[in-house]
Parts: sequence; C-alpha cells; structure tokens
Amino acid sequence: MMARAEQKDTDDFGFGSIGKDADIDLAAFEPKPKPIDRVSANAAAEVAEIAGFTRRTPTKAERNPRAQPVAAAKPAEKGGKARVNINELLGIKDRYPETQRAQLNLLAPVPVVLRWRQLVAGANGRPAWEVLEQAMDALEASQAASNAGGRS
Amino acid sequence: MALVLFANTKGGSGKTTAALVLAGELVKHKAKVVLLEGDPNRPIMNWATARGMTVLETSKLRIQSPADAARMIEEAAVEDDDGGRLAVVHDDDQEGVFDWIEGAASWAHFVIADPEGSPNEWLTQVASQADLVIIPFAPSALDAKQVSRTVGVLQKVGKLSRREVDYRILLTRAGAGAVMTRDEREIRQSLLKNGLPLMDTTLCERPAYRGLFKLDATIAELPDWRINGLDSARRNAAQYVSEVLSVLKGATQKKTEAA
Repeated sequence: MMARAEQKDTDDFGFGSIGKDADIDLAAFEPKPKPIDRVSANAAAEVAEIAGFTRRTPTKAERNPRAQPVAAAKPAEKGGKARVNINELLGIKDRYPETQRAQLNLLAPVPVVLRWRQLVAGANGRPAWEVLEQAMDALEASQAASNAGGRS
Repeated sequence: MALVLFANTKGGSGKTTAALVLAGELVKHKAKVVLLEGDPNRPIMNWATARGMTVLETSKLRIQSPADAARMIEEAAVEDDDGGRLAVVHDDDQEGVFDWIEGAASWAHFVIADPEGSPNEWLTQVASQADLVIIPFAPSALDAKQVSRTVGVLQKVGKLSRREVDYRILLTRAGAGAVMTRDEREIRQSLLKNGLPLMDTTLCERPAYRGLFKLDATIAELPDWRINGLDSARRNAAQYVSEVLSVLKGATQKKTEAA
C-alpha cells in the first residue's frame, strides 16, 4: 500500500516558516518589466497550429477581410448553425440562404438610436430587421432616382 | 515577478481551484497578485464579481501600451486586511494578452494565469512566457492522456524556441484518505518512472476547496464553523504554496546562473 504524501512532516523545501501568520520572502519576486520573448511566442503559435489548437478570437487580418482575398463562402449545411459570421460572407453574393442570421452591432448618436427605436416600436410588431430593410430599400430607391436624374 | 500558468487541455482538472488557492495564500502573505483568466466560462471573473471586485475585461478596454495595463491593474486591485493586493483580469482578446502580461509584471509579484480547459492557443501563448507551468491532474486514466498531450505541447514549444518550459504536475482532486486508490498509485508510479516532474504536494478533494466557490472566498477567509477539515486544508494549501515558491526560486536561480 502506498500512503499519500498530501502533508509531509519534514520541510524539504526550506519554507518551514510559512504558516498561518508567517510572511514569505517576496524579494525574489519583486515586480519588474518582463519583455515578451517573441521567439517563444512564435514557437508556441506554430506548435498550437500544428497540434490543432483553437483560437479564441479572430486575428486582426481576419477582422479586416477587405485586405484579404475573398474566400468562397461555404453553403449552409443541412442542420447546420443558423447564425453566421458576416465577415465570412462579405463580398460574396447569393451563396447563403435567407434563413441564416448574423448579428448587426453599431454605435450611433443617441438621437439616431432613439429615432430607430421609435420606428421599430411603431412598426406593428414587425421585426427590427424588416424595418431596416424597408429603410434601405427607400434609400437605394432615392439614390437610384437621383442617379438617373443626373444622367438625363 | 513570476508568471505561473495552470495548464491542462482537459476541463475539470482543478486548474481554477489550484490557481485560486495559490493566489489567496500569496495575497494573505502580503504579495501583489494578478489573476489572469483566459477561460470564457469566467469562473474567476464570477468569483471576483461576487466579492464586489472590479474585473478588468480586456475586450472592453483600449490600451495603448503595457503601462496603460499596469495603471488599470493598480486602480482595480483590492487590498486585503494583511496588506496583500489582488487584481483580476479576464482576457477575452487573445491578441492583447502579451500587453497585459507586461503590464501586470511591472506591478505584481505574481501573475497567475488560468486558461480554458481545452486545447487552445491562449494556453500555449501564455505558456511560452511562463516561469512555471503547473499541470493540475485529477488522477484517472482519462485525464492521464490529456496530461501527456499538454506535456507534449510544452516540450515542443521548448524545443522550437530553445527555451525550456519549466513545468510540474500537480495531483488534484484525489481522495483525502490516508491510502491512495489503485488508479492514483499506478499513475504516480508511471509519472515517476517516466521522469515526469510530479509535485510532492497533492491538492486533495476537500470541502474547503469547494467552499472557495460556494462562499466566494479565499482559503484564509473561509469560516471555520462552516467548513469541515479547514485546518487540514489550510496546512495543505500552505504546503502547496511552499513547494510552488521553492520551484520558482530554483528556476530564478538557474536563470541567474545561466546569465
């Protein structure tokens, strides 16, 4: 039988003074600047990629897809997620079904936001995205009209 | 300053508990500590928020430099009765983690990092900068495989960067009985046989460690009247912290000699 060594009677580590009230010697751990070891960081990134470790957040390049060649969007798989990352679909048309949903977040001046909320509230229960779509249709129609007027 | 990372690619190994025990004990001994959380499940953030602490969420903060991070950490840090200070940073923006580590280093004695229990890049990125990686390990055959995987990754990072990643394996969640289970005994023997650095101290399954999350407290703050076996847990925690400090001091000495 092997006995557990959760607690040892002897102090092999030279820290016998640590107890309820004793202080520890912090001299060896004084705060000081820690320059990042870029070689190790790059090695870690390489190892993680080879090992198939996942990223938690998109890279800066992924956040700015316009600077990247546009990849073809995968058609939605049957039974797949109904929500997509819109960055994956920028610049690509007609390759995704309307059933897919993406989040639209934007910051705007307070009066604009209030006006928007009032518009949605007065839309007889229609979803906000339908109001937005209607507004965009109207905007595009007025732009098309002014463009046509300019040409004549 | 020492950066300690708790790493295991599997969840439920006791990483967060081991990190909180270490942080709490160090703060009790007047150290300045930053808990750097990379786990999207936010166990440490929830723990700190329940205590009324301000948690720095990196994705909501814009910093221009590590100095900005250090200033924010100092402002958010909370002082305990004994003079130690604790700050909690929840990092959900992987690309900024190095700035936060640099900032924390210039303020804290210890930065304790707790990643998600999954194979993720945040873990390897922080491991590449860590002074010590502790691999908590609940002794079961299932967990053993993930420990092998974690060790393999650390060794590859060390080999590629030509900088050895110092790591130790910490048994956690073992039964607190005097005699260990057959599984645990065999795993211990296998670790030692293969020359893997197993810590002498084991963090056993104890009500006190569960109490950290139940009562949103540190070991020192737990009330005696509510927790069975608190004295044993406190002795166990002190032993564990002693061993961690001893390893860190050894590593610092080795670096100084190499320089």
